[in-house]
Amino acid sequence: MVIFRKTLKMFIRLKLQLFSFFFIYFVSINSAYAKDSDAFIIPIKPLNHLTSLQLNQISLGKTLFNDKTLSQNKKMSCATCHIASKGYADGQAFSKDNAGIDKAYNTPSIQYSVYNYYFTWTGRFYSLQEHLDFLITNTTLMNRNWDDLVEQLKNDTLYIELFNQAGYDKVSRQSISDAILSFERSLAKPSRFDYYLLGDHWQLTEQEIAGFSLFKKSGCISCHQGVNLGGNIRQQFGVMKPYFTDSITKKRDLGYFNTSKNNNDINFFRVPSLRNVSQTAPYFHDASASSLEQAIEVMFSYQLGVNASKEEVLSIKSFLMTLEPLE
Amino acid sequence: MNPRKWLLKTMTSTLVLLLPLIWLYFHAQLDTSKRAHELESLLLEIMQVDTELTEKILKSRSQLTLHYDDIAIYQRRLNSLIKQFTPELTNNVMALKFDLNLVAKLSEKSQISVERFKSINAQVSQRQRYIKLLASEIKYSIKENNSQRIINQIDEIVIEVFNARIFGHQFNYSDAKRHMNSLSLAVTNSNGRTQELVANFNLHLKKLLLLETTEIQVLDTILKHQMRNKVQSIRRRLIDSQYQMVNDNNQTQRYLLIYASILLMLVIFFMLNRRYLKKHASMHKKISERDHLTNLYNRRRFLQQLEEIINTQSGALLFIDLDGFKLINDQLGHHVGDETLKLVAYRLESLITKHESMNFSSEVFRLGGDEFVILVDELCEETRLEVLKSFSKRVVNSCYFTLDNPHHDYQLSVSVGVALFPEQGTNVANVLNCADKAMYHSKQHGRNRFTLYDSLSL
Repeated sequence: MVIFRKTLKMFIRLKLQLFSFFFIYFVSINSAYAKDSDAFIIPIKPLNHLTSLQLNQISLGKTLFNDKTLSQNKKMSCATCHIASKGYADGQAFSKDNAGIDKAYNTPSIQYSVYNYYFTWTGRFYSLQEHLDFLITNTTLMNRNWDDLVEQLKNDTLYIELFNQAGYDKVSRQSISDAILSFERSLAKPSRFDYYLLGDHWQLTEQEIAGFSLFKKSGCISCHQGVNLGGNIRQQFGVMKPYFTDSITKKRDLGYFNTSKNNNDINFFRVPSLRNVSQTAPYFHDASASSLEQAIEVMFSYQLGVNASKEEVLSIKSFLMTLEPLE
Repeated sequence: MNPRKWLLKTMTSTLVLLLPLIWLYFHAQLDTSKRAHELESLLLEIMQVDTELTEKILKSRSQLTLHYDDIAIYQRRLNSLIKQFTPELTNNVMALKFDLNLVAKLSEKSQISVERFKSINAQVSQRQRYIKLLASEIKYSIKENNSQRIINQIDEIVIEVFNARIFGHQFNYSDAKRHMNSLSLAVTNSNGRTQELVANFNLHLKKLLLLETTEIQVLDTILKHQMRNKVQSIRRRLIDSQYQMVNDNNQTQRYLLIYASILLMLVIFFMLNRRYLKKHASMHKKISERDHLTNLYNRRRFLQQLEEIINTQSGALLFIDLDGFKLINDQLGHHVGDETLKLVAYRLESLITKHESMNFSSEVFRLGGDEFVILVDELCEETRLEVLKSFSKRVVNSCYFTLDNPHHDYQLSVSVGVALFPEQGTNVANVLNCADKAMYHSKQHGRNRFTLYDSLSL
């Protein structure tokens, strides 16, 4: 009896110790997570357990995304300007349209566009559906009519099988857009930084964490915040000092003013997402910064009013490198 | 054609024709009110989302944390709700269509304000950081005698700036100006570098205050809630009009009138039908209680009546049988027999009507064939035997007559047996049996007479 009581006591003590250890461990982890994210940046949680139907939809979307026959001249697909290996941008200053002329704006990456509130450099589209409609029907790009497109896909036995596998009962504008959008949605993959925010503190090196705290401290975070580190507000280019001098101002530099015709919107651009940023050079709407360091310097001097040192730029850069998607 | 049938047919056809019309009308009414309800709930949701959006904006304004993602989510929800204003939803009411367009426009306007707020808010938060940066720069570079005072002054300003943010009020402009003046005065004797830094600090503080003023202005336009007020007024009007629509609609009244008239017609029809059925029921009762040939009450009625009074009252049965009726039937034919029965019945009835003034009541029944019964009750106790005897004698006399016939005269007479109750028992069968026996006694003793069961020595 005595022995039994002793063992019970020991067991309880052990249990208490274990419990307190785990309690402290979890509290420390959680507090660290709360301190770091601070609701400024919300991490992307890793997606898993996709159903086979969803996977089929994504693969159908991918096929459509890469299909050049969807365009009028059969030379253009979505992937012409959004190349997977270049972070779903195209690595050029300006993409060429179907006549071989440069587009007005640099092509932004679409890898994390799901989390944006609005799209394109000036943020004139409020949903990916709108954006897709615009790209497909635009005369300088795909130049297609939705009805013709649906008709074309209906006559393609390969596509009909793919649509059936993806669970769409018919080929329609709705199902085509849905497939492409589900593919675009599947592109947003968590980065090392997300795992760091979710509590895995070993994902970032000390230098990268220092970069993140500099990012917060110097004020980059007042615009590049939210789940996508940007993409949910418009901001003036040149808050601290004017970026555009009169001599080189082009129409595109007026920004959202071109759409809204409101004087308050001159030089206002959508704050781009910083996810994936290291893969999508060149930078800015006019591709004026060819490297990430240059872009960071411009941002420091025009948006924050600080002349950044070389170390600061590198520190920020090392942080931005952690936003590359894993896999 | 039977008028009743005609009525029925017209009624049914009218109903069949009118019912779909009524149904269609009420269906349309229901549809309208359903859509109005849909619109109302949509407007309510818009109000809710707008409230939440405002809440997020105010949170973003008063805290150092930024909530642009949340704001964007509510903006998206609001936009998608505004997009649900379809022409079908407005029930083709022009005023409503106009109002909803106005709401969409106002929402667009408020969206512009929200966008503006977001960018200014981001700038403000960035400027605050910048001011803190400048302050620390001044602290590190300053090397004057009164440096501690200047540093304190700057710290105070920085704390004031952040305090204003945290507690959600605006940094007082006159206070700021006083601070800036004293700061400029403090550095008048210091070197150029410090003066430059302080001037820069003051400049950016001014810019920050300007930005905050603009932010407040933008916030004011958002907090006017033009869209929400409009939506609320539309909703209120919608609810009122919905109520009035049902109440004041001429068409509704007309259809209600039609409905009421149809109801009235149905009621009248049922009343007529009821009357008809009642009449027929009494006829059927009569038929079931009367003998078909002589129109006297039949055996069934007799048994019922006897059953009713035999236990409570005293009375007598006069069992009457025609003498030689079989002969008449056989020799002169059934029709003469029937006529004879009718004649006897008539005579018996007239006898009773003649004796109505007497102090007893009586009733004639035909039991079947040539047998009749007179039920006598309410007899006076003392004189009842005398009265019965005289009455029986009259019966016998009134039925003693000759049938006129071209070939042969038939003398018709009756034999009567009288039984008394409750003297001969209170059982119907017993009393009848007794009367029967008395009647047979009369028959055996020469017919055309009556016998009292009491006088029989059995």
